[in-house]
Amino acid sequence: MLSKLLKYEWKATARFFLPIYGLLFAMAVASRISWLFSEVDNVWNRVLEITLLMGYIFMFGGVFVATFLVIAYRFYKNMFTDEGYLTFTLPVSVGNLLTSKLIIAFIWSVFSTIIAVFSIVILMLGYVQFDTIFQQLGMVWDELVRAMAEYAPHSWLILTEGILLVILALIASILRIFASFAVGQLTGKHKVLLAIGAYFGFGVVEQFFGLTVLMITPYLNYREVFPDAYGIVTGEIVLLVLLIVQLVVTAIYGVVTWVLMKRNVNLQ
Amino acid sequence: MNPILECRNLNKHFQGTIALQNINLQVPRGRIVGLLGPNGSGKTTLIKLANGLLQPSAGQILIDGMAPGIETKRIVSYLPERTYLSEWMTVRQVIDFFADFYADFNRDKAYDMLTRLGLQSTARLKTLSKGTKEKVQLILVMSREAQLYLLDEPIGGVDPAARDYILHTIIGNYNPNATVIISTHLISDIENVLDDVIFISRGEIVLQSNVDDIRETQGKTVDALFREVFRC
Amino acid sequence: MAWDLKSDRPIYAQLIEQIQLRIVSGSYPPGEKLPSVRDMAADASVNPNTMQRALMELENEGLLYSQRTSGRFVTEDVEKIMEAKNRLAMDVIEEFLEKMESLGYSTAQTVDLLKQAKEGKV
Repeated sequence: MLSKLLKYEWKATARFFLPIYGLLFAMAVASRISWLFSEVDNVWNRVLEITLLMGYIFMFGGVFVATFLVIAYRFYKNMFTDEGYLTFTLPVSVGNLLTSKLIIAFIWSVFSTIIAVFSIVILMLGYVQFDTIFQQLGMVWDELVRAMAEYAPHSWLILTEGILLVILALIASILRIFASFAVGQLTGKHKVLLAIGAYFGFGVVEQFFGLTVLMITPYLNYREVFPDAYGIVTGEIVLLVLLIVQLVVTAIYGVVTWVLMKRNVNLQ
Repeated sequence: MNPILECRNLNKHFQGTIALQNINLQVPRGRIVGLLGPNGSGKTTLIKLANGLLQPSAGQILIDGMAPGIETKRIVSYLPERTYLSEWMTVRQVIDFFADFYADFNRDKAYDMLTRLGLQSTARLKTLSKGTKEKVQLILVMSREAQLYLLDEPIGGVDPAARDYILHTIIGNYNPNATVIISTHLISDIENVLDDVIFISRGEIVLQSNVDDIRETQGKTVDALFREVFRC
Repeated sequence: MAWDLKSDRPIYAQLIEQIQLRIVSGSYPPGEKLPSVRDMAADASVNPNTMQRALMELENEGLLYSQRTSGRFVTEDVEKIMEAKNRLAMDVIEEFLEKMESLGYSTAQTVDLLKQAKEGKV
C-alpha cells in the first residue's frame, strides 16, 4: 500500500513543482540571454536586464518558499479538509500515510535545492570557466581534508555526522509542519490558525532546547562518558551531541504527529 | 456471525455538547436500513464514528465485531455528505485510485454506470457540476462490493430525477449479503426502499423497527409515524 | 403499467396485489419469465427483499413458479389465473356494493342502475 500512496502523493505534488522549476529555469535562461546584448548601450536594455535578474532572484527564493508551502498545503488539504474524508477511510495505516507524505516531501526538498544550484550554473554559463571552479573546489576540498586531519583525526566520522545531521534536520523540518497541523486540528475550529501558532511554538522550543544543549556541551566531561574515545576531539563530540539532539527532535515530531493522527482524528 | 454494525453504550460529545448518548444498536446483514432523524440529531456523527473519522468519547462501535481500523475500512464503503474527491483529477484517475486502494472495487461496473450517465472518463472533476460530482461519487461508492455501505444524506437537496437515479443506483447494485445504511430526513422519498428504520432524536435511538411491521401494526406509513414522533 | 404504492398498507401486500393485477390482466402472460428480483425492485423503486417476499407469497399461492436455474415464471395453469381474477373481481364488486349501500342503494337498485348506465341512460 505504501507504494500506491507514494504514487498518488507524487502525482498530486508534481503538478505544482514542475511549473515552479520550469519558471525558475525560464528566468535564468532569459536573464542569461539578456546579457548577450549588454554591449548595446540603451536604457531599455538595462531596465530589461535588471528586471529579468530581479525576477530570477525572486524565483530563486520563491522555489524554497513554494516548496515549504506546497508541502504544508498538500498535507493540510489531503488530511484535514473534505479530502480527508477519503484519505482517512482508505484501508491504510496512519504510519503509511505519514511515511508516504514524508518521503515525497523530502525528495522535493532535495530536488528544489539541486534545481536552484543548477539554475545558477545556467546563469553563469560562459562567464565562468567551470573547470577552474572545479579545480578550485578541489583545492578547497584538499585544504579541508588536511585541516580536518590536523584538528579532527576522524574526518570520515565528521563527514558522516555532517551528512546525517543535514538529512535529519530536513526530515525534522518536514515533520514539524505535519506535527503543527496534527496539533492544529485538535480544536476543530481555527485549524490553520492554531497550526501556524504550533509551528512557531515548536520553533521556540526547538531553539531553546538546542541552545541549552550547545551551552552545556563544552562542560561535558565526555571522556568519562566515552572512555574509549581517546583521540576523538571536540569537533566530533559536538557534532555527535547535535546529531543526538536532532534525532530526538525528529522522533518527537514524528511520534506527536503519529499519535495525534491515530487517536485524535476528529473531522468535523 | 457478528452483526455488521453494533454500538455498545456509545457516547460522543463535542466540547460540552452531547452528540450521541448511550447508543445501543445492532444492525444485521443483508438489510437496507434508514437512519432517520431531523437535522442535528446525530446521524452524521454516528456514521463518522463508524468510519473512524471521529473517536468515541465512551463506549464502543464495532463493524463486523471490530473497532474501526484498516480491517473495517476494507469492508465499509462510505459516501459522505460532501464531495471528497481531488478536483484536479480526471474521472479515469479517481477510478484508478479506488481500484488501487479497494480490492473489492469493480472497475467494469463503474465504467458501465459512468457511460450510462454519458460521462467522459477524461473529464476533470473541476469541470463537472456539483450534482454530477455527487453522482460520480455515488457510482464509486456503489461500485465496491463492500459488506457495509454508509450513505450519509445521499438524497438531500437533489431534484426528483436525480433522487430517482440515486435510488435506482442503490437498488441496482444491492447485494443481498450486504447492508446499506442510508441517513436522511426525507423519509417519504425512500420509505419503499427500506427494510428497517432507526429513528434517532437528540443523540438517542428512539425506535428501531421493520417498515412493513410499522405499517401493519400502526396502520400508517413510516413518514406519518416520523412526523408524529418528531412533532415540534 | 406503472407501480402504484401510495397506500399506507404494508408494501409487500401492495406489491402482491399489483403483480396479481399484471398477471390476470395479461401484461405478464401465462408461462412468461419474470424479470430478476433486482430489476423488478429497481423498476418499482422498492427494496429487493420486499419484492422477494411478495414473489415468494405469490409462489405459495401458485400464481408463480420458479425453476432453480432459469428464474421465475408466471404459471401456465390458466384456471389458476382465472381463479385469481375472479377473486380480484369479487373484491372490487364488494367494495363497490359497500359504497353504493352507503349512498342508500340496495343491491337490486344498484344492478338496475348499472344496466341503465351501460345503456347510456344516466
